Amino acid sequence: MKGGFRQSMAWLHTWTGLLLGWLLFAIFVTGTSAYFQEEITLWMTPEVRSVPADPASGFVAATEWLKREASDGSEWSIYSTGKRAAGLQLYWVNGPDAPADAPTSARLDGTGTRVFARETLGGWFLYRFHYDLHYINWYWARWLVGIAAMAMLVAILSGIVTHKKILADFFLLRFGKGQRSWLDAHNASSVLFLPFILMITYTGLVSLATHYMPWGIAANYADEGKFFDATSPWPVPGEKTGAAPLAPIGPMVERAEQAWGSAAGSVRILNPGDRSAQVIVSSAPDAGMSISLRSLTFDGVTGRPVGALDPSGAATVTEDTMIGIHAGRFASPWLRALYFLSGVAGCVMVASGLILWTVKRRARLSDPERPHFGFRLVEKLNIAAIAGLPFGMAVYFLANRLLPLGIAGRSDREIDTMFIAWGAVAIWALARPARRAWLETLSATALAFAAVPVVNALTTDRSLFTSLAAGDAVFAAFDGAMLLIAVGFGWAALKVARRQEGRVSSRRASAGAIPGVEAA
Amino acid sequence: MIHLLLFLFAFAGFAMLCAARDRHQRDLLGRKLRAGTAVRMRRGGLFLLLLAYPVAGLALGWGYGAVEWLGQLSGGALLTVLLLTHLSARGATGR
Repeated sequence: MKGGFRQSMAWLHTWTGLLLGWLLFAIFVTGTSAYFQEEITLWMTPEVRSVPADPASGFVAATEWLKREASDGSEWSIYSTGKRAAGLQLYWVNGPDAPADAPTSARLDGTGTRVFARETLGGWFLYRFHYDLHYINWYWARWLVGIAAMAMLVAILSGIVTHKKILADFFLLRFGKGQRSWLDAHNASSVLFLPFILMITYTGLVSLATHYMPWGIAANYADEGKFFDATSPWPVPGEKTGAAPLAPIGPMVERAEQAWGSAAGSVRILNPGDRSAQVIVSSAPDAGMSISLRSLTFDGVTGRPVGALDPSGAATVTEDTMIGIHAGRFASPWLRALYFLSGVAGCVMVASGLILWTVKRRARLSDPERPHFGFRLVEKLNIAAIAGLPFGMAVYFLANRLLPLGIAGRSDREIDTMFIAWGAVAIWALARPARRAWLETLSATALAFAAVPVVNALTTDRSLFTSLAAGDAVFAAFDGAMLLIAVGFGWAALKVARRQEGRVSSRRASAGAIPGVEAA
Repeated sequence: MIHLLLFLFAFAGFAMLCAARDRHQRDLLGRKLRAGTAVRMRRGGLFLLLLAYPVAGLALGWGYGAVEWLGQLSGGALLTVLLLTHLSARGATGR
């Protein structure tokens, strides 16, 4: 019976992993990129120079800017773009006299000077894609992602049961041994990074828990809006009552930061320049492990505090801390690098698991030259997912530099370009024999990533050499990372090419070398 | 500095655990350890891995420290595995 339980777990692991593996791979890749979403956005807006600046003085400079440019607005919002990307994003609501097409947002650099960046969603789009997907309604997308995450949790737990010798094989990673090597890579990437992989799957489910299980809210609040009003209130400006000067913002931000012992992240000003003015200072999302934001509300004329919000319920704090650990916004560079490395391990785990499905079954095919439909489908979808999405992302970065700056809906065109490229790889994979398609798509992906720094050097004045000379860490690291990823895909393409050379002999040899199937 | 120290703890800990294993000793150290030495190696490795947690907690705060400790453990284990893979591949061609 013992073998029976392990075998049913192996079955569960194989099929939950396969069925949702392609979607999980996309979630892992884009989610991993999100650990550097600020940096990706900085690279994708080369017009913005990151000037190190003191956020507190940035809020003051931004308020002065809004006084000049949006003086009759009914609401101003100033967001610091975070400690990794000094800058400010402003939004405002114009007064009734403003023309309908008057601007309502602006980007300032760290010193409070306006910058005009190209229209792009940058790294934020990749972050959003990892749970809202694209082109389909976000409501159903989150259900799909949730089902994938649940399948992931099932696959992890059943995988642990299936993997007999988790401690005995802990350090094993053998290259050049066919199926054995794929199994080693699958085991190593999941076992060594098990804390991260368990955490990221579980907290990922928690972060959308109220989406999947709305009944707790439904039982206690009349509708979802009332729940969000209660947990994260969003006051709106009332009637204006007569002009009065706005008190200085600097001391309010300072007072809030002293009260929390951490940095402020945003300032909202309701009815600026009016007697009813209110200033709401909120803490920075990257200041602590929990994502719950604290805020202090000040009277906008006297500058005295009139209210405070400090979420402290045990359940809320637990949930918000879990989401905080998932997103890792609080992480310092070293921990961020570990988060990213762990994310890459997750991608390797999913990809090697998908490939293992075909490698295991190829040896058992009755006629390896003409595999059955199911086998071919999995093989082609593997290529479409594992080479296709990274290729699409490289093209997304290239499109950011190559699309004309003035075209309408530019940010959407960038995104469309990414999916067109991804789709092209999928069609290519369907049309070509699988082994040829692996070689061709992996090579194309390597070339596309290698092209990113080259095109960047040709289209901006911030080439890799300039960035290195100027000590511009974000740009230099981004270009360097592109080259590193290109080398990775090039290495994979080379491996495929070598295998094809000695195809017949190596297949016989590796099929003979496998002593038996040890795990799914 | 503390990050590097934690990484060294994790790497040294896993390398010692790995060296305590019969099947890896020849690849990693080039010779067999006596049974008593292997046991001490295992205990020492475990001790280093566990010791890294209070060090991380005291230096970085207990919440942040716990997250970083787990991340560093994975990093240290990965380096150990890559080193072992490299050494055993070299040993296989050298022999």
